[in-house]
Amino acid sequence: MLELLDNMGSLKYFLAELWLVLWILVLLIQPLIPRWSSAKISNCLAVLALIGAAGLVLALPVQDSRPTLFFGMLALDGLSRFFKILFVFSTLVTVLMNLRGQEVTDHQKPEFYAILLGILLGMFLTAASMDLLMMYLSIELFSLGSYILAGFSKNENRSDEAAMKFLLYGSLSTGAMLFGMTYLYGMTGSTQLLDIREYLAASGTGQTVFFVAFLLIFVGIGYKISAVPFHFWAPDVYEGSPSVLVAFLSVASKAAGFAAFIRLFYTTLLANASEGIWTPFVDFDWRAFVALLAMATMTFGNLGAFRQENIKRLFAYSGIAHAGYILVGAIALTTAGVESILFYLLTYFFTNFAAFAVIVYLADRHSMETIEDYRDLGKRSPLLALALAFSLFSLIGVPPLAGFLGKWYLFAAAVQTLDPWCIAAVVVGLLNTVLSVYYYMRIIKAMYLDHLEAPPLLKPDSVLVGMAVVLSIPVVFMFFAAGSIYEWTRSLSYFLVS
Amino acid sequence: MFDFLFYLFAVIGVGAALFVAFTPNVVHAALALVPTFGSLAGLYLLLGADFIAVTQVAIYIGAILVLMLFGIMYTHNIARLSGEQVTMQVGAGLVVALITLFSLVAAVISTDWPVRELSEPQPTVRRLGVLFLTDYLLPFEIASVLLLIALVGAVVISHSVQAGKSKDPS
Amino acid sequence: MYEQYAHVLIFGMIATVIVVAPIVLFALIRPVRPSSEKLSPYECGERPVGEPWVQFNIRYYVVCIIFIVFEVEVLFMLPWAVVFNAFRDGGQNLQAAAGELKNLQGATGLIVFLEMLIFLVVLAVGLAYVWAKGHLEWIRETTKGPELLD
Repeated sequence: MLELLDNMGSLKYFLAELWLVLWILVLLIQPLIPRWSSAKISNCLAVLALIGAAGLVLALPVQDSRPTLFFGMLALDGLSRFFKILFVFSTLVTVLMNLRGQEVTDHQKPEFYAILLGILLGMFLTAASMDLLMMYLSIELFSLGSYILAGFSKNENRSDEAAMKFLLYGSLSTGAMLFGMTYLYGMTGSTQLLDIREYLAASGTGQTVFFVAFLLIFVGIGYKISAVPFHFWAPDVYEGSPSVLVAFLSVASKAAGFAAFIRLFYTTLLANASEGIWTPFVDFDWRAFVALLAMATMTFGNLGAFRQENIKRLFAYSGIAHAGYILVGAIALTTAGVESILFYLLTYFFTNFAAFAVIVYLADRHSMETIEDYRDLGKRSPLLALALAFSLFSLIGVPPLAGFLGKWYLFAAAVQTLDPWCIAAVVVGLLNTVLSVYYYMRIIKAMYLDHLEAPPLLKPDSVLVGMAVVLSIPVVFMFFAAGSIYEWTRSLSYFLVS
Repeated sequence: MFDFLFYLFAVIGVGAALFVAFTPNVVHAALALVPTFGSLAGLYLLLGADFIAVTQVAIYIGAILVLMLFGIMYTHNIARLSGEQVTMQVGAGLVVALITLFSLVAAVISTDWPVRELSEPQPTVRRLGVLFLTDYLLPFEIASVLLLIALVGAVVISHSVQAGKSKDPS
Repeated sequence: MYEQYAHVLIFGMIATVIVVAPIVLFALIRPVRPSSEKLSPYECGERPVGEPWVQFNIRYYVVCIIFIVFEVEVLFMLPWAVVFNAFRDGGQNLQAAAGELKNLQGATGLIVFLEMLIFLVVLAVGLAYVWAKGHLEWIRETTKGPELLD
């Protein structure tokens, strides 16, 4: 059933990654040549590299045989394809936001882009990894890049603190993950996910060691998706890092975490029993466990956001809460659950990037970072305020915006299972949605209801304003095509063992 | 002999690691990592992983430790900082640590590990070389990208520290 | 394999004894009469000036990082260098060298060489970057003012 491609045969499905490596090298050589070493050229090169990568990802041939590349290291399936598309466009949007930004100084731009492309490469590989070693290496590649970029801001102290905390907690959690992987390897004698799956399917015993191993692996992945109790880094990192990087992390890093989550747990732990319902091999109640985590994540995220004055910190907590919502889709343990996660990540991509286009613009050009700074934005820049308002409503989940559709599919997938844990998680999710209205509305109130005597004017920036508008169009109008977009994510939700 | 050496290395390694964790002096802590890493290398050797053992000595003792000592040495006012250890959240930390310890120990004890008979180990360098170039070619090449990113990142971060220092000579 | 490393072990034991034995022995037999002269740090007969804890230049750190990266690179190259000849011969010796292996398809001498070349080029770009940015030069033209002299 599965086709195992050798190293040379794999290369033609690996062009996007090779392309990225090439451009990392180009971006590092570019500042060394005096005539080329302007920020404009780095911007051009980065955009060019990403457009090329996007093209290569989209042009990736679809294989019915679902081959694995490089002797079973990487999977070539719908799931990896979906995540690659999501990652490459996240990076493209991030680079476009950064074109005229000042948070990352001009002479640092080549390195910023090179490391960003490195992160993208790591995420590509994470989404496709079929081997524990490969997965660890690629998660490490994209984490390392994010730690470095978190320290890039011109605001030295906060940025240093962010990078430091990110690095320390991050190394600890990936260390725990690696330790868990060694338990798995020790028991099954293989690092290949498919071999581990075979072992677990055959033995199927509920040995404690597997519980501990998967728990430790979840520490590493939970850190990436900022699930409670591994969320502590998020507020400080979001506050201190360059805003463009925060925008990138809030979408792509979370998506990469979920890619690893689906890939690892669905491949090793679950059997596709019938009609898209997955049942765990190991007789431990994973669903209850993840459901509890999901509920805690939603609740802590939303409660934490209540008292935040800094908008980036607020979005950190909002991101934690949304990680909780997405986990609800994961506990459904159905194919519909996986599809709804992918769809939610897609809506989250548009919503969060639209919001962050505004946040980056205000933070970067005007050093406006607190809710108080946002007062009267409705008059000072109607277009930006409108874009932000729509994305905030979408984050709340007001129908018929994109966020509502995402939540609808997630919760529907969970409710359909009729499992008490799933229903409990959905109820908590709905209550949390109500909670979250308060803090999102605070921003909207500041923008439209708090009037200033003489509001200082904002310098227009065509790129960021344009991006905010362009990204919020799908947020507003997605419901026209919700069915077909959902079909598209469904078509990409298959993976090796499904 | 095997058991004796195993317990010797284990005691040295764990003892030195405890010293690292509890000594108030950061330089002593860094130096105590030498026996920790060294005894780990010994354990690797006992398990037949000779190349890993050499790597452990060359990279951890030879390079990472030196990096750590430099890290301590260029820290401002290290003499006044050393010895100041603030412990916060003792209760919560203790609970988490105990739960972790309990679950790890429980996992190790309760498990029926697949154990292989100890045979005379063969040198691993050739096998590793072949595996790097066949089954594990992709991780091997990606490792170079990882190293490149790490190098560039370290240079950029330390460069920004230097730039900040020349602007603000406090 | 263990016999070869027994030499290392014996060597290490002797080295440990040579270091530890005098310290223990002298601690037992020497008289203890400390004075401020005796307790001062030894600096080749010079009177020590200032604190021993000075802040070192951060440039050591960059050099050290570069060293680590290239040391890891060398350690990756070693196994490659050991088996390269076997690949060049067309892989007949490989089966003997490495036990049972299944995935040898397409690994000829030239390709194995190119694979290492890619690995090296990626890191060579890192070296070029560091070099051109001037991190390998200890005395830099760009450094100005006395505050960087420490």
